[in-house]
Amino acid sequence: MRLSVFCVSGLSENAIWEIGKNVGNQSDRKLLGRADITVLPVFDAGLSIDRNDIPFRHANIIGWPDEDSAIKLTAIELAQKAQLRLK
Amino acid sequence: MERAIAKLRGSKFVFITFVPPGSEAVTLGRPFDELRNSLSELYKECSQPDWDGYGAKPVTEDSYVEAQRIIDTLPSWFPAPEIVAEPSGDIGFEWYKENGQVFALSVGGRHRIIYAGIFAGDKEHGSVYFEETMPLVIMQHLRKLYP
Repeated sequence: MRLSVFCVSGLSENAIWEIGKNVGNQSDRKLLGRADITVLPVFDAGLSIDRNDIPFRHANIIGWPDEDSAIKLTAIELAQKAQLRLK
Repeated sequence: MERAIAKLRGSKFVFITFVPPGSEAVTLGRPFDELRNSLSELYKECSQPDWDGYGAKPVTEDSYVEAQRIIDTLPSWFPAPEIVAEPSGDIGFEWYKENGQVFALSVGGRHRIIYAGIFAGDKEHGSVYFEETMPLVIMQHLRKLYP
């Protein structure tokens, strides 16, 4: 299991939204919002980040637990630390 | 009648109604009607593969039926949860309370509830068999949010 994310450090708001728009366009989906999270809570949750830059700035959050319920708990924890921004 | 009530006194939940002979019992709307509608919409929108554009599995009829049973077995005095489709094809129910307290469960037509919750500094997760009635462990966790 992996969670697809983009590293947005140093980018302007417009540039961040542009990344989301491009991802949406590629799969013919409308961008509704984004969730911003810093690296620390990801590591605190026992996960790690695999940056592959395909496309540039793309990474996956990996190292998820095996048990479904543990995945659910970890996802809740990340969601609590993330900031939701609607388009 | 008094003997019947005395028998019930040891039970935890007793609800007795007296209906005069000749009158009809009236049902004042089913609880969670809006939630049932949301579930139906969700099933329509997410029953195809890749409904999220990231390769999500479709929400199956088994998941849908099991989610309906979750709604049927929820006590009507609990607040209605948020309902979501998950990439695994499961259907999730989520309750959010102030102070970051959360309880979430999901079903996927496998007679199993997967759950996780964060309560006042306490974290819990697990899975439990589900058939006809809401498992006690789920009720206990919901009670932590809504005593």
